[in-house]
Amino acid sequence: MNVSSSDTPLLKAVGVSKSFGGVLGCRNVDLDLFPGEVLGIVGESGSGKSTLLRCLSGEHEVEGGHVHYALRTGETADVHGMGPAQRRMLMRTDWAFVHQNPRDGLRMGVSAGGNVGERLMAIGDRHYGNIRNTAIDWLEKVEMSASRIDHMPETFSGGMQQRLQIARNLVTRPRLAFMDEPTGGLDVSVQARLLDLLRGLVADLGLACIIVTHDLAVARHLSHRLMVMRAGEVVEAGLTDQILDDPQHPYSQLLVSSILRA
Amino acid sequence: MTVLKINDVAKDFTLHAQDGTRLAVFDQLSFDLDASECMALSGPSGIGKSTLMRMIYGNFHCAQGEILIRHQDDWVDIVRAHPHRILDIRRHTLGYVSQFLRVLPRVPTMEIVTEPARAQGVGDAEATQRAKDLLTRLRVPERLWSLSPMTFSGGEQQRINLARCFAARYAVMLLDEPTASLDAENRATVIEIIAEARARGSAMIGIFHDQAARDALCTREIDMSIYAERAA
Amino acid sequence: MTDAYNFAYLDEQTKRMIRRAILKAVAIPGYQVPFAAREMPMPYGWGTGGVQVTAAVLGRDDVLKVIDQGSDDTTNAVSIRSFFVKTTGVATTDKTVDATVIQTRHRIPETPLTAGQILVYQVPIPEPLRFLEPRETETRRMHALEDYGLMHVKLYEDISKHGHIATTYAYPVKVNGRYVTDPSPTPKFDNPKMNNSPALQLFGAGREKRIYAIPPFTEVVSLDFEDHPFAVQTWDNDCALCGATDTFLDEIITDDRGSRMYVCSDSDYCQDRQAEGHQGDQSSSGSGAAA
Repeated sequence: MNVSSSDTPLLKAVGVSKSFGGVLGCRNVDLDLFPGEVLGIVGESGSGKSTLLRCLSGEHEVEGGHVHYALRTGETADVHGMGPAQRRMLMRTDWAFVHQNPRDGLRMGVSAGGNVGERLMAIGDRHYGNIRNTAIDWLEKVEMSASRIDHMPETFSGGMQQRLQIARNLVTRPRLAFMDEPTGGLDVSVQARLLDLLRGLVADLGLACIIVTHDLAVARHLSHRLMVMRAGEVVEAGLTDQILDDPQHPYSQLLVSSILRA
Repeated sequence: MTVLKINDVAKDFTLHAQDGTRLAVFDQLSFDLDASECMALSGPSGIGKSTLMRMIYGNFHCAQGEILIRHQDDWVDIVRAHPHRILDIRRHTLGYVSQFLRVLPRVPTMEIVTEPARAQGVGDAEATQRAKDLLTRLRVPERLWSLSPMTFSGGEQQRINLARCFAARYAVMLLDEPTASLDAENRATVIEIIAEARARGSAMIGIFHDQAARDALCTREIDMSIYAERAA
Repeated sequence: MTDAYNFAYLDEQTKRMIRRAILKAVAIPGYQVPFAAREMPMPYGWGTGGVQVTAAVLGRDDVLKVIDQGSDDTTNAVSIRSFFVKTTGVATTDKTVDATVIQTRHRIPETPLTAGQILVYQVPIPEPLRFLEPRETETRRMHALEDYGLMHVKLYEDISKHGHIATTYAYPVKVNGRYVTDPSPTPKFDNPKMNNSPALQLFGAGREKRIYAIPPFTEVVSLDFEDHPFAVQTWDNDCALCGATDTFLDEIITDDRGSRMYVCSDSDYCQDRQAEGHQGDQSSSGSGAAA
């Protein structure tokens, strides 16, 4: 995994808090994410992982704190202060969002090629042949046969749908990907293959990732750094191998000791 | 030139799930390490040799003391550095030769071996050349280079691991029984390779149960049982 | 005209409300303005949106033409025309050049429109993104943010399935360089006529309660790809009655042995040409189609 040694964080969150009608989502979360770095967020269901992810990507408003993103231009944008147009532009160029359920991230009524091509068309690509060639290229990158380009996602297996979702997201070569349990619904062998694929793509593209997972094996395999969340708060953060091999917080220890082998 | 300073380091493990039982490992451990030195950690099993190496690598948490490493002309405290910085140190300055290769499914041997060197900015051709030299010297048959080491024998995996770590160049290297599970010929080769790295200026800290390797390589020895007693 | 109804059926307050929506629509070309569409004495799908727009813009001096599929004498056209005769008493005409207001379903007249004319379209589904994105909240946001990649996805899917853009009607356009708009189910043949038209084009969708407009002399561009440019339909035949080579043709089955003829769908235009002496290869047979 190549991590650039740049000292400017790509994404910086300070004191991010969010609740839903008095029910705590996440509280006072700080983080720095550097270019090319993969950050895992682990914790049990309901610990606020996905809420935090949505706060970081601007999908949720925050009640406290702020999130800053370093634009390609060198300027810094306040994720919650920017207009919806700019956020949407980021979402289809510089950012990727990979959902656990590929149905949430794919257009099920559109062919594989159309799914991959959508972002290109959204940013103004108007040459059918080029769009199609790029789509074929990306299908191959995610180990799908080019012959499936005109097939509907409905005809694909769960693992293929997930790979298609990844291709659809990465086609504009984003710099930051938000992933919510990307391997969640897949069986073990499919999961392993997807993890390898993700790992390779992340390294090749120099992509920074924030990956929410409850699976510590996924976290170890993909992430450089980990944050352990419990009841909306980060109880421990640090290098992935340090947290998994020498956890300090009682909850981290419980989490690590609860699995058979990470 | 000093490259590593261990200042008053202590380690204990607190087992929260077991009524907060505290296991003290060692205390008041301090030493400096210079370039080209090779220091053996000695003492019986369970005394904390691996634990210390893993603390230096940032793999184990350190609650007391400083672990300073010279990284690109700066002194960085591993204990307090941002994880991002530690990753950078691991990539450029600090190498860890574990006893086991963490095998990635589907990745060919050649790619695994060249990866750390490439991450240091070494060009593909140079990295490949270093990998070929090391694999050849360590008697890993050429027909295996394009395969994933997933199904290789333990000894083959260990030699691939060594090739991987020595194809990159680190100022400080941590060696966890580098000659274990090797036959006599390969043991001799590994000793040669380590000696060459030392000659280039690398400082080493290692666990060597193999007496011959220790005699051939080590310039200093530190008895960990002294510090374990201080913690008791 | 009967006194049982207010002029043009709707009460004055309702007409004012619709006019305000129309003014807003004209001010923001291609933008769908919501309006409080009324129940009309005809079923949805028969042009209730167009009828309300026409009722709101019609004055006593206007001359009204109503066409359905280009023809003045089909059921829908006849019934809407008689509705307005009954409720307004305005003059009606079949002649495009004589009309001040033209309500249409599915066609734009072949005769070029002129300044001062108003063309009112009956629209079933005003949202061009609807079949791609079912959520109204999302399509509105997409319009607001000019997020139109999806529209090209539809055209992409067409080409990947059929080898060319197979959308032949309701072909999406971009109005005034901003809003992607559904031209109502007119054939794409008519899309170029919308561009820089001297006439005011108003669109009414009754069931969906939306009004949108293309003001006179506004740029209307049909979406396409560089390597699959927009093109209108062409026919191998000329009009069998007037010999026209550049009009939208209807295929008419003339017997039960598969015989057919192609005639202009714009009956007024076709008759004008025949009156000027133009002939097609079946015009001497005295077919009833031209009556």
